[in-house]
Amino acid sequence: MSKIHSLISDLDLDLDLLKNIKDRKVDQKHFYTSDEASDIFLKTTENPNPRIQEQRDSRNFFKFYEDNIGNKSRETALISLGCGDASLDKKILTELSENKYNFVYIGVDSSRSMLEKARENLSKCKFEQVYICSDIGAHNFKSELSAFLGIYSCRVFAFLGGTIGNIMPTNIVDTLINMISKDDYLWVDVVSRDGTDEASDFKLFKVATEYLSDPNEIAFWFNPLKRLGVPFKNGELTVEMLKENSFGALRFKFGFKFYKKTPIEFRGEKITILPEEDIELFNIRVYDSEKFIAFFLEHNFTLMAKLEGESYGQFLFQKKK
Amino acid sequence: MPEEQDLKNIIAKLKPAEQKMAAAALDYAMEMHCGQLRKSGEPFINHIFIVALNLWQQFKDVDLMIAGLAHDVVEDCDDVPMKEIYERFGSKIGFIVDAVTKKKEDFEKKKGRFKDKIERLLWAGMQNVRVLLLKIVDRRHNISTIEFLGENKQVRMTFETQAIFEPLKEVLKFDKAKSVQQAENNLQSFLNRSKISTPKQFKEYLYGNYFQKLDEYLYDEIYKDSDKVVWEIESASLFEKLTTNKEFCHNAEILSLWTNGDDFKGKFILKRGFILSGRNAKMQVATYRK
Repeated sequence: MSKIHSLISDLDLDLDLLKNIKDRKVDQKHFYTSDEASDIFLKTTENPNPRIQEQRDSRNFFKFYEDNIGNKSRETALISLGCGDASLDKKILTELSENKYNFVYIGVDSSRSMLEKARENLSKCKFEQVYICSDIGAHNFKSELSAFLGIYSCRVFAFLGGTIGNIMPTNIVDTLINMISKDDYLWVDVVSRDGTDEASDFKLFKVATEYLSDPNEIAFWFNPLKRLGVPFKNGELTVEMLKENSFGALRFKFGFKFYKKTPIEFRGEKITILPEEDIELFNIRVYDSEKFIAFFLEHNFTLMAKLEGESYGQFLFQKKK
Repeated sequence: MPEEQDLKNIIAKLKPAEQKMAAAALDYAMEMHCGQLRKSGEPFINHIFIVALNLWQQFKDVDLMIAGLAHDVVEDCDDVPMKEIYERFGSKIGFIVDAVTKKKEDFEKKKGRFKDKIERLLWAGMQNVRVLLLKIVDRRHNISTIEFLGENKQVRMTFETQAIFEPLKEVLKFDKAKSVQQAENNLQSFLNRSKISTPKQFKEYLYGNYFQKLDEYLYDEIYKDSDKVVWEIESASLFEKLTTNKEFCHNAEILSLWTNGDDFKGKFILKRGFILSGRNAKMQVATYRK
């Protein structure tokens, strides 16, 4: 079985979580970084809402790859950023393999337990696999990942399954433009807005509101706080929809609002959270495709191809030459 | 302008004494507003014709129509003192015009000081409901041509309309009132029912109709910086309805929506004029933006 290369230690993760709590804002990697966390996450994917299921079913990643990147003779590194348990990647990887594409799969995720599941998921596949436990938000992400990727002449950095929607796109775009070469590809798959009118946005807000009463989602979002010993009865989950106009996103910010004074002790430190304080937990972004593309163009990328469905968009970028 | 001819036809059918004064008011208004233009570029007198005609069509009241013809003379013409209106048209019509005119020195000298122009207007309206009827019709026409104003002014004007004139219309049952007497009865019955005896109480009631936690201080702050106010609505169903309202979507910008599954807060700014309507429609200031 392929080895998991870890660029991130458990202690680093705990200290990062501690800092996050002090800042009242939990980074998304902390929702996946334990065996229990990844199991809780996978439960949320068992019965997705119809909109999410439809997106999953309707996107044809293999066709997009074949039409726009496909080159069977050249060895290509397909780097899946935020690969999770690779269940979404498995289909396209299998098709690439069956169609004799020459590629190496590099799954990158900040959660070691998710990578374990990915490795298990793809254990019977014949193509070469590398797993890297690293966080795109970390200061050393570029230098450490580059050490692994330097040997491949053709590299495709992929964000599949809407994972880019959980991270601040400014972070991604600035990290990647400094990391990729002119022949590399950036392949981004996003959940897109039904329209940019207020009524369509309100419909999405209602979908997000439904998550607040879904026990699996509640367990997923609350898990980092549960890990720190915060009783759920000390507050309530909330969602706020905000507009991020510079890249055309609607951001659904899930948070926990405290009713009670809550002391936390973790890694030898004490933190006190007071009533009325909020902790930002998890973000989901849904994009206006046109503005999303314009945002990447402004950051020195060139759009090579796009494929848009009713509620998703796949975009392929290269660095401006 | 067809309204001019309509007014002339109406005036021609009045009793001789009324006819004489109404014709004089029409001539006076035409003379005083001659050459003036509205922001839309049309002659200012058109606004006067429309206000006077609308008042007559709904209330069939000569004093009110004459006041409508004279209502902007002091405010919008140079060097016309209010006493000229009193002298030309008598104290009853003079009082109505005086009450709806922003130049307030004469009025205040005679009637005492008021906390602000709204209390002054409401006090006068409690003496003679025609003051309120004229102001509502005047505002209705100004709102109908609001797109010619600057965006900040639009927001300010619709805020004032929302805070004062929309609830005032409801108090007077304005849309159904067919005579001054009916409007007067509606007003008095409301004042008695609500135990309102001062213009201050009246104003506070009106403020509370569409706004939460709106007081005099906040009203003045909002009036000064209407375009910087971040508004909040706490009814999800009302907000959802607004998202399908073309006028709202054009004139407002939604900033955020929040919920804990039960409570709701929708925040927005008004970029241009917009009047909220409907039962349980209430908004409040969330914050100000720079």
